[in-house]
Amino acid sequence: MRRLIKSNISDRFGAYAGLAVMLSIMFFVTQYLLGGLLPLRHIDLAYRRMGLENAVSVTAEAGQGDLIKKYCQKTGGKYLGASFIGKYTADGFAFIQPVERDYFDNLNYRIKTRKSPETGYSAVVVSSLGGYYELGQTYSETLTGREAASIEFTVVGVLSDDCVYITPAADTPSSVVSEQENYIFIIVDESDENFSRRNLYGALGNDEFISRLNNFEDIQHAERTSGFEENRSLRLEISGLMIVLAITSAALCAAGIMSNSLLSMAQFRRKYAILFTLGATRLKCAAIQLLTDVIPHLCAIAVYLMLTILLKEFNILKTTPESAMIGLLEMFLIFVFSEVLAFLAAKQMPKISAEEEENAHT
Amino acid sequence: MLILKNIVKIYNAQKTNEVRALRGVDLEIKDGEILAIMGASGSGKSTLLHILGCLDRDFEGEYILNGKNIKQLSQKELAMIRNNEIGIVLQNFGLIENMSVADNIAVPWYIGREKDKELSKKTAELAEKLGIEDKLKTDISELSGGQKQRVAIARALIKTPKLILADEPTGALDKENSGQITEILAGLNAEGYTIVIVTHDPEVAGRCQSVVRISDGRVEGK
Repeated sequence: MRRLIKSNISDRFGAYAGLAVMLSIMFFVTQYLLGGLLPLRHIDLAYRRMGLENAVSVTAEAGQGDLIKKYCQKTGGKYLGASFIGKYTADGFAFIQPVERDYFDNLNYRIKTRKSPETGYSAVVVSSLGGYYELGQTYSETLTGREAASIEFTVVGVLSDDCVYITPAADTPSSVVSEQENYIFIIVDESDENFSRRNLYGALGNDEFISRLNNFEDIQHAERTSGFEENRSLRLEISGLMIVLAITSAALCAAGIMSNSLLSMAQFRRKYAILFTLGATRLKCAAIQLLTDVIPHLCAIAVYLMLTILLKEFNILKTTPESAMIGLLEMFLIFVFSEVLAFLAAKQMPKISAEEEENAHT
Repeated sequence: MLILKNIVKIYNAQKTNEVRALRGVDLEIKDGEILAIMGASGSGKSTLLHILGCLDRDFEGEYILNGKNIKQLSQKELAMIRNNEIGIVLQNFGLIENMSVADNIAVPWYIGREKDKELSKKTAELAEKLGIEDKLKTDISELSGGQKQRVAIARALIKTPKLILADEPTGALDKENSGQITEILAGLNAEGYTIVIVTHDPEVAGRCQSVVRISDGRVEGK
C-alpha cells in the first residue's frame, strides 16, 4: 500500500507544490494585513497600560468644576479636582502622563523606545492638540504645577493625533511618576484652543456614575470621546477585523485543501477502479485516498501554524488568541469535512465501468 | 469450476432509465477451458465479465466459483477472490501510470499487503516469460501497446490464479501484436489456466475451445 500511496503523491506532487505556494502566499498576505492592524491593537493596549481602560473623558463648558463636584457628591463619585495625576505643559498643549518602567516593553511593536537610565521611567503624551508633535522631533516643555520643571523629549512613536510616545529626559521629575487611579474623568473645555489646567477636572466613579453623569442636562452636550468608549469601540473594531481576516485566511486554506482533495479524487478515479478490479476493497481505495491527501495537508497546516507561531512580530495567537483559535477551529472543521467527503467519494469510485459501459451502448 | 445459473442483471430497476443487461444467463466453464465471449456493443458482455470477475454481486441468480456461492460472500471475501483467484486483463491495459513495469506487475501483491521475498524473482520470471524482461524498470508510458498488454498479462498472473479473464485483450493492438497476445493466452491455457476472453475479434475467438455469443442479454449458444 505504501507504494500505491507513494505513486499517488508522486502523481499529485505538482498540485501539492501549488497548494504549498498558495498557503504561503496566503500566510504572508494575511500577516501583512494583520501587521497593518496591529498598531491599532497597540493603541488598545496603550490605553489599558495607561490605566485609561475604564476612563472616560467628557468635554464640557469651561468653569463647571463646581457643577461636576456637586454631581460627584450626588452620585457617589469622588471629585479629584486639581489633584489629577500627570502634568500639563506650561503652554497647555500637552498633558504628560507618567507610565511604568515596562510600559514600552508591551508596546515594542514597530516602536523602538529608549528608557531613561537615570529614572528608569518613560513617559507618554496622552493628550495633545492633533499634529502638534511630529515624529522624530525633539521638544522642550515646561511642566506646570507646584513641581514645575522642564523636560526635553523626542517623539518616537505616534499612535494617534492625541497620543504620542516620547523618550523621557534624564531630569524628568520623579513627582511626575505616580500611581494611576481608575475611573478618571478628564473634563476639559473644548472651546479653548489650548488645554488649560483651570478647565481640567477629575473624578472617580463607576460605570453607573458615568452613565448618570452623562445624563445631567447641564452637560448634556458633553461628548464621551476617549478613554473607555473609544477604547472599547476600537477593540471591537480590531477584534472584528481580526476575526474576519482569520476566517478569510482559514476559508482560503480550507478551500485549497478541499479543491485539492476533489481534484485528487478526479485524477485517481481510474486508478481506484483498477485497484478495485485487482482485489482492493472500496475501504482500501478510500484509505489510500485519505492517506494520499492527509499527509501533505497536515504538513501544510503544520507549516502554516509553525510560521504563525514562530514569526513573533506577527504572532496573532498572542495578540488576538480568540480570532486565531476561531480561524483554526474553522479550518480544522472544514479540513475534516473535506477529508470525510473525499473518503466517502473514494469509497464509491470503483463502482463504475460495467453499468456505464452498458448504459453508453443502450 | 465456474457455474452461472439464470443470471439476471438490471441497472436502475423500475426507473425510466432501466437497463436489462443480462436476462437469464446460464453458463458453465470447466477447469482448463478457454472460452471466448462475443457479442455486439451493449449486449451485456462487460456486465457478464464483471460478474465473472466478482466485481458485482448485485444480480439475480447464482454464481458458483470453485464451489463458493459468490452472492453469499462479503465484500472483503470477494476482494480476496479477485486478488488471489482471478487474474484480470483489462480493456486498454488498465495499467497505472507513473509506476515502473515491475511495480505494475506487483500491484496485486501491494494490494494484498503480503510479504514475499520471492516477489522480485517472480516478477522477473513472468517478465521473461512474456518477453519484457528488459523493461522492468521502464515507466509504463514509455511502452508500446503490445508491451503494455504483456505487462497487463504478467500482472494477472503474478498471484498464480486459476482463472484469467481478459476483456478485449487485442482491442487496442495491431494485427501482429494481436497475434502474439493470442498466442500467449493460448500458451497459458496449455499450461492449465482457465481463460475467458471477451472479444470482437473472430481470430481470437477462433483460437478458443468454445465460443459463447451474447445478444440482448441472453446467451445464444456455446
